[in-house]
Amino acid sequence: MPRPRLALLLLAALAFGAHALAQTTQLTMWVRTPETVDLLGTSIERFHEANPDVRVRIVTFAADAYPGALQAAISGGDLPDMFQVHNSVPVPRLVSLGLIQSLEPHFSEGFRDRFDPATWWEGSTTVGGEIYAWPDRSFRRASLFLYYNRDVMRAAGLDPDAPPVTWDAFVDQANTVTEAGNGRVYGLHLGFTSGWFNERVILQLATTAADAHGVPAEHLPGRMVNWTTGELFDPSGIQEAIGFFAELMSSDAVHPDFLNTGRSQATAQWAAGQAAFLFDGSWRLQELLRTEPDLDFGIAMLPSRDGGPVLWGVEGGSQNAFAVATRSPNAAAAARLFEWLSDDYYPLLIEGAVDLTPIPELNARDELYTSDAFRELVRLTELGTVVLPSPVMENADQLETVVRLAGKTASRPFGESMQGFLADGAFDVSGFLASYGGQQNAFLAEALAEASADGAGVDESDWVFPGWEPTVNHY
Amino acid sequence: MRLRTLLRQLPVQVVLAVVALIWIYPFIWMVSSSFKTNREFLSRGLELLPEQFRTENYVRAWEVANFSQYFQNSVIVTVSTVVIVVVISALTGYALARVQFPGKRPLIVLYAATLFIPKGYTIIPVYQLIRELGLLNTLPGLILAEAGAAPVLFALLFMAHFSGIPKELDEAAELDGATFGQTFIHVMLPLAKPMIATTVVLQFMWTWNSFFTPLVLTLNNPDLRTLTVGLYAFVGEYNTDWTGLTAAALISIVPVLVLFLALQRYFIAGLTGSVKS
Amino acid sequence: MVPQLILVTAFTLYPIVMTHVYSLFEWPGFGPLDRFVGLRNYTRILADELFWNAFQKSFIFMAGTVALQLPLALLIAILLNSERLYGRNVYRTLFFIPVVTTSAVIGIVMRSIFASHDGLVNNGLQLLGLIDRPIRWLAQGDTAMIALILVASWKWLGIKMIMWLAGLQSLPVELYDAAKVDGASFWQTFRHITVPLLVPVGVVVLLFSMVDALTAFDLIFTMTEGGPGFATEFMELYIYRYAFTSFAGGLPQLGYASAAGVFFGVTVFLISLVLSLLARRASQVRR
Repeated sequence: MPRPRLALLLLAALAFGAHALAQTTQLTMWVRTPETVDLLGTSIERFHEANPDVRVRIVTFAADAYPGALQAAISGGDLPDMFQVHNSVPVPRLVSLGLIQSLEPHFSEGFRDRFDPATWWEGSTTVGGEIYAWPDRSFRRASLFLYYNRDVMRAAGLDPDAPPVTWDAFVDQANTVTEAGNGRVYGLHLGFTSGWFNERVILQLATTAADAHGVPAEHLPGRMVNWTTGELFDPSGIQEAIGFFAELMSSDAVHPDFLNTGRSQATAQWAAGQAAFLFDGSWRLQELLRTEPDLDFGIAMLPSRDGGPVLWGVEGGSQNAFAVATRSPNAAAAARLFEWLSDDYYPLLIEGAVDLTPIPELNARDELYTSDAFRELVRLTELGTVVLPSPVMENADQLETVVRLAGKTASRPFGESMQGFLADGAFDVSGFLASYGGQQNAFLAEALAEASADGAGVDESDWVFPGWEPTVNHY
Repeated sequence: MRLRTLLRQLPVQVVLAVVALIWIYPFIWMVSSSFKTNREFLSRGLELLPEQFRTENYVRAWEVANFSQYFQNSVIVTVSTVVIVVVISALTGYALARVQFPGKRPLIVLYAATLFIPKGYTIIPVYQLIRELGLLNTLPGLILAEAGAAPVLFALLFMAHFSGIPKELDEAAELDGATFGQTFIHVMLPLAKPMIATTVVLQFMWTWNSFFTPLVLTLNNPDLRTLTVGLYAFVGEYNTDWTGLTAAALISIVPVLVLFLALQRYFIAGLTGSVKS
Repeated sequence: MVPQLILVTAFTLYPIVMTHVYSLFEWPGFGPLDRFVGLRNYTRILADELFWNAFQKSFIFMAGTVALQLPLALLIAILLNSERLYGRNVYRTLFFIPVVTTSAVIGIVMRSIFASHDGLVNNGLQLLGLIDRPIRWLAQGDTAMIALILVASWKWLGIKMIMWLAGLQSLPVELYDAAKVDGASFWQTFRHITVPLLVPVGVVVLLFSMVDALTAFDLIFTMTEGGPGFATEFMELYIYRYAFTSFAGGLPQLGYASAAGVFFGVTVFLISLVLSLLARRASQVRR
């Protein structure tokens, strides 16, 4: 009679399972950045070995689907224990809605002191001075670089170790490559298809053009103002940057599909020798090292108008930080995991050539670096990113202004407009820039008025930094 | 005799063959890409024959994307959805065609109106509803949402179909002492076979390819994701795996294609019935 | 009937009703629904030139795909309707294959096929001597729209072909025999018997084509992302941009997106209502 024995076995298994369950803390973690999923997974495996009482399950998302997933989970009260924040649902909002909890009580003494101080940034990782989100990498990140294919440069008779530094030199070299390529090879390639990316390309080039006092911030991209006066950003820089592209296009020196090729495909075409130069984010490097091990390429700053360094204004904090939902009873275990990851996963970021860590002492450890290209990328990143002034760091009440500002968006998005202009030029750039900038200033005035009407002690003066030097970190 | 017909058809056959070849060229291209390496795909993309036939893209798609699990989920969700939709829209269509009740016309117009409202972003109410039912992160919840969003169009087509069947048939059945339900099952459904085939194929295709609903309704249980959700792991900022994507896409097409071939005869006849009226 | 009513009410009507509700609020898609703004979202929509751009582009796209698919599908259906045609089932299947192929993948494949550099379409046209220089299909607004219309028509034509086939097979054989006896030519038969009898089928095909054109998000998103500029930003993409993305660093605006969806949906419905009334009028006149 096998039946009863089977039933007994099942019962025993159930009892054992229940027992095991009672002892284990289950944590779910949402990740939307594919470049770190494997590293997190590796580190979490090791965490499991050291902490058998905790089990972490990673759930991954396609980046495009994440904001919708987040909206649904919030509306259904179904947020997971840990999730990566997204700027469509900013941290201060999450806090004011009571959706995420402070991690301050759970971190051990002195934990925060090991980080670069600007990691703890009001409105991003901290609110009211308390830590609400753990950064998955440094805030010094994600600027754009020039990748150059040495083989293609050699074939065109260029010095493969002297990539162009100024716009003029860039145009010259791009034309040389294009002429030598005989319709098969072009000077420049980039995937100019998504609004946010197009915006970065144009703005980062523009910062080198005219009035450098308008180094734009990525957290407040609409705030194209002169930070020393609070006045409208001088649009001539943007026009010059567009002119730079127009010049390349006029001599066919830019890949003919750059307006209709996704970034990953543009990278692959560049790597396959269809172009000498590629503009893409720092995040592309690790993928290139992985998928194109034999490619002879280098990395440099984007060309600047006159050869100076290309600066990129950043705020502190983190754009991809992990927060812990209020409804999760496992904040202590989550904090334990974050501390583990800070020791065990951050070094992997450097070893895997993915990104900088928020702990300067780690970034300085030369033995962690496995590739020269990544060492160069880190050097350029530290050179080029400047920490911008922040109204919220001056006056915590300005958080109210920032939150309200986020609800207001220009009717014509910047990046798509740039693409449209390069596509058929049937578009008045200076008119667009004037109205775009005007809208931004009007939005700030509205947001300030709404915030003070709701009792926040804010005024315009916090948004102006008279003594600010764009080349110097503000904090 | 056969030869003569063939010869007479020759011009038409040639034209059709050429057009059909051009027609499915992108598809053939996809098939050939799925046997190439990514580098080959980019540098020698226009050549149809790969240097050598590699099956590793299929292996990768199947394993990396957890396809076997996803495949199973897709089958369960799609088959259940199709069954529910067929039963319910057939019943509704029959009722709309046969039963007179006040407000029938406005109801039909209202039904038709729902077809045109863009629905890509209406996920939040659906999500909240499924949560209230306690069915979040379960396959039944997903099936319910998929089936609930669909049947309007088919109900209308069934209605058109049943209106075209002479009333005398029902009356004869009723004279024989059959109930409303019995008449429906024994007389009407067999007549609606082709219409059913139509619904099966179209609904199968839609549910099989649905992306956002399955993603959002299984947020906290990724083991329940469907094939199409898995497929999107190959589309994105960091992905350069086009050949993996084509392989994955081909895997996901096969079931729909098989179903179409199996039901093709009914499928055509099905629409015949519905549009005749 | 009752289960259907419950299902439809819960999963089709309820979300649509909620969309109307959201459209009266300033709401990012999460948090409390507490900033009632009345009709302000609607007035903002009416004043936004990009909304009207999307509105117009959606209709051009719809008109283009309908105008291309309907006659072409009918032509193919007539050819494949002949019972003596060898391999007609094979042909039917071949024409149906694009219908079942995943849109997102088609978008990516078509990007390569319509590429300016070494694209299949350009190479073919150059081979035939029709153009000297490659056309930058997807890098210019007008040609990008044409490419999208071609691809979408190609993808969905199989369904329309099947519908036409069904319509053709429902035609009464006796009428054709009578026409033959009267000595009518093929063209006369087509003009005076086939076309009028096919009008009701045509209405169904038309409706399906319109619905298809309105739900082509995946294809457009992977093929052009709405670009260049806003040249192919159809209503679905416009709504998506406001509902789920944080463009320009701002919050999503689900309330605003809902208003756009409602306004657009109602317009399309009214148009199709007028169309179907006209079709009914036409078929009544015939009788």
